[in-house]
Amino acid sequence: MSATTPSTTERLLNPWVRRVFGAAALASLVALVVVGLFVAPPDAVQGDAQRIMYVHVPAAWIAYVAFGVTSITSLLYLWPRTRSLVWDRIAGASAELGVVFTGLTLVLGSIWGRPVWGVWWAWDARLVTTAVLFFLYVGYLALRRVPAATDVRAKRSAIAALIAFVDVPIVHFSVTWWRTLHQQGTVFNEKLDAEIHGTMALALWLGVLAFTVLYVYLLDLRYRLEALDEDRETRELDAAIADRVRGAVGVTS
Amino acid sequence: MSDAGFVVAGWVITAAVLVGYWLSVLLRLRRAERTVPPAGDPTADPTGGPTP
Repeated sequence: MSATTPSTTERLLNPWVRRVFGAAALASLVALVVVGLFVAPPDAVQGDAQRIMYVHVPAAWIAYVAFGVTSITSLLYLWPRTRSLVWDRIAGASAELGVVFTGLTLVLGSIWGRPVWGVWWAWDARLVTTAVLFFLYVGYLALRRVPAATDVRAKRSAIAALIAFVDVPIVHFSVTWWRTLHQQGTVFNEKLDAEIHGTMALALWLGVLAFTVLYVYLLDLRYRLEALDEDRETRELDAAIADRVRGAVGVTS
Repeated sequence: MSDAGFVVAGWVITAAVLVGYWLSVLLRLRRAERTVPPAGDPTADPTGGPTP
């Protein structure tokens, strides 16, 4: 095996810690359902429709976290002193999670927008920049699947990830930079003064916690898949090269 | 549709996406683990040997 081939048993978390994260994610998600749907009171203005916030905001938070992790690990891969395929695998795994959660954020935002704004979609700065973010990282995932030597693929993916990440602060600050239909930040606003109280805040933080724990659990699983896929691709490439060499020897002899 | 209908739709879609993605990763993981060569045979060819 080449020096860059991953160990097929490589994981981010040991199995026991992963099981703890899985159980904690399940328990916190069940608690979120109870608090978000049955305990928290309806909003004074939006009524029950506001309960979509308890899954919409955590999904958007995980999209930020996932693309942030992809960017940091991409930087660590590009930095010669820290270069390791471990960072590339984490970047790829985290980006896929980011795409899933960004897609979920867009769908939930649309479902929330229909009863509150009266439309499923608006050409609003926050919505458009989030959709752009989704497609940027779909492109990143497509780029990762273009056949190439492992280190070449890792380097170009890392550069693409850093370029795509430019959109994340644009998404976040879009509601303050432009006049938008989307509301301003409730928690991470300009004054950093959370404009939410009591049980509603509890449900929101529970959602953020549950989705974060779930993200760590899924990242570990997805990282293992990334390592196994990389291993299989390397073995397939080695087998194809050996095949070609055998063919060439057969022709010349 | 009432507000409750939108809320139920949102939460059901969230559950479906999370469970669906988790299952897809598990299935892909099982499939990938089946291609891992047995211990002591690191050069095993996952394609089943050279093409004719």
